Amino acid sequence: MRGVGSHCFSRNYFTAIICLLLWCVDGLAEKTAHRPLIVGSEEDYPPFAIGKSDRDADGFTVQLWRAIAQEAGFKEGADYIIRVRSFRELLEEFKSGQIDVMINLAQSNERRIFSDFSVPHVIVKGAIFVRKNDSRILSESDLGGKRIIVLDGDLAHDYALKQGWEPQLVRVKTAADGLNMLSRGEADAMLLSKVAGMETLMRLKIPNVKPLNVNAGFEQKFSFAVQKGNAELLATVNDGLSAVKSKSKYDELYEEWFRVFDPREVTFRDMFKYLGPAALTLVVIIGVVGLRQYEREKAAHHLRESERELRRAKADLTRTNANLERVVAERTAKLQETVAELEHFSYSITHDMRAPLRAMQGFATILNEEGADRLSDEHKDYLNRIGSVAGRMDQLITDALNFSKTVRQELVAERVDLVTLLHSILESYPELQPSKAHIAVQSEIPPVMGNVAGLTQCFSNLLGNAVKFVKPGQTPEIRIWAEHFPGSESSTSKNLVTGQKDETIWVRVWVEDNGVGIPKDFQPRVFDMFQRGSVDHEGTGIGLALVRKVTERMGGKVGVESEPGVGSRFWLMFKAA
Amino acid sequence: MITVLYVENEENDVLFMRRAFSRAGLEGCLRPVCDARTAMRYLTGEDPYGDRSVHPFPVLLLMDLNLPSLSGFELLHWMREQPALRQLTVVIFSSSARPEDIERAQKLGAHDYLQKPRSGSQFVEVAQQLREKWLAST
Repeated sequence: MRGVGSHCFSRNYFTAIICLLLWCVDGLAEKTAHRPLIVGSEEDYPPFAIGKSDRDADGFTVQLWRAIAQEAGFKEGADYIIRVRSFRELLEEFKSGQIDVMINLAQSNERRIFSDFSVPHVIVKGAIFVRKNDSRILSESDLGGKRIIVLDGDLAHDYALKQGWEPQLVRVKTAADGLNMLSRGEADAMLLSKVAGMETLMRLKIPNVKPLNVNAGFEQKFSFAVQKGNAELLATVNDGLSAVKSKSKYDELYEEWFRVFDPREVTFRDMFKYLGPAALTLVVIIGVVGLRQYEREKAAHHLRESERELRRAKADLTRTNANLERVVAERTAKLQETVAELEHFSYSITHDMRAPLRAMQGFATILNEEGADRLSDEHKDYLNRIGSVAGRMDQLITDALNFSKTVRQELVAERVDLVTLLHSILESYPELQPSKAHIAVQSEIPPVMGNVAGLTQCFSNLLGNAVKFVKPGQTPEIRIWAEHFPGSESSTSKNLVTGQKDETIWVRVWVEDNGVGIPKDFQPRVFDMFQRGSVDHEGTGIGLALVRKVTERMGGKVGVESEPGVGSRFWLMFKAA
Repeated sequence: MITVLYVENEENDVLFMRRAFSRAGLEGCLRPVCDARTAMRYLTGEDPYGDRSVHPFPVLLLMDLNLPSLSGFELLHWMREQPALRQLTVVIFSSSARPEDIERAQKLGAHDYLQKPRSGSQFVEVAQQLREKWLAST
């Protein structure tokens, strides 16, 4: 695309006028006949235009035009024909109106006389090409007095003239000619568009020429050019170009055709294109490794999270335990306090209740004794009854106190010789003396595991009942004996947890009396609290409940066999010592 | 004539004990006071007990433990701090048979511990026991 020299202006002036006129005629003709647009593309001006004939037109701008035409709905052949000529021929035909669109015309004021330019599709920086070993020229300011090659009619030519370098200029027809001259040392520099120069250097494999690393003072704004005044076509071209640019088709074309020649700043797109396959492999590798790493990290993260949670849970548990222990301790203390208060309360109540009972009994007795000569037998009986009920009340209080005390106190099990224990009981209770009751204790009662205080309480209660619940006038006959047997013979012999045979040896002590006996229907309730078997005999209904409670607390069992009117056989069973 | 100071808030018990003392040949020996503070005043000779010819110093202090306001234990405590009362014989007369009460009384310097009988008529035996054990020498 050689620029139109200013020296050609006057010569082409009339041509331009004629062209305009012809265009007007053509425009009218187009409207009527709809002839295809003639699109001019320069031959062999890579990378903008390549191909020697109309058929093999190609290159950046040719493809760009095709993209724009597609946007505009133009079909190649029907709506436009690409004509491939040399630049000079093309320019002449364009000026004469035979060509409607120039696809690669660098903008210049001279050309604006006969052309309307679209927005530039490529702006090519001018470059100063020098030989690689020539260190004299480092920038444009070093060009003074040097032999400078320019393409005849090129924009660089115009620029050189403006710079006043006309005497130094060497004009050539093609970039190849100029660069070959420079390579051979026939000139010092060449002003040329960077893209065209680089392409030519590569194509001709000229090794000793390079562009300076600074831009020259000229640049070429390559544009589509339409006949002056063809605003409609210009608008179509501009719209198409805009659309192609916005669709990134432009970038694709630019990358396709210019990347080799224009050492632009490396963009991500460039990187992607060149490094694509390698990058893809790398990405895959990184991906795979990364994925594994990620999975490992994820697993590790989960592990760490689990550990953290475990630690948290542990801490919570420890805290909860500590709290629980504290709560238990607090509540135990409170409970002990309450028990102590209750104990004190029952003690006080008992104490206070006993005083009036003592008085009742006392006054009744004294009155009976001292007023005997003035009282009838009936009144004496009343006084006796007062004393009696007061005494029962007192016993009730004593039993209740004993019971509550017994269920609280600790009963440490130890080896107890029951024979000795039974004899000491018999000695200490007046109603158990031989004068009042016949009590026989078997001498072979084996020792048992129990508590002396607990066992004493149990047996004295049983013996007390045995002598108490007899028919009036009858002398109590009591027999105490024991049997011992391995656990397997007992209903409690099997260990429910292990299912294994219990090797424990049990001792069952029988207390048999000749008393009134216990009605069959009452026997199951005889050990229950406040159950009284006989209305004829004094009792509080606490005694046997206490026996069972204490025995069970020592790990033993109680039971009874009884025949009303014949007698009862109570038994207590303990582990053998 | 000897004097037995009896600290007791139960009116009936005082009555029974008076009778018991009479029966035991200790007529007029019993000087009952109804609480620990009064007992303190009597023992120290404070008003209205300043005249020892009317309110003689006792040879024996018989006392209940369950007393209003100051308990029998507190009276025992106080007595331990009074050097003039060191020689005085103290017998506890309580309805409580609790071992811890008996033990505590002994530790606080009580010489004997008698449980109150179930019937007021049985106080006679207590009076006799006191006379034989603690009042024989006088």
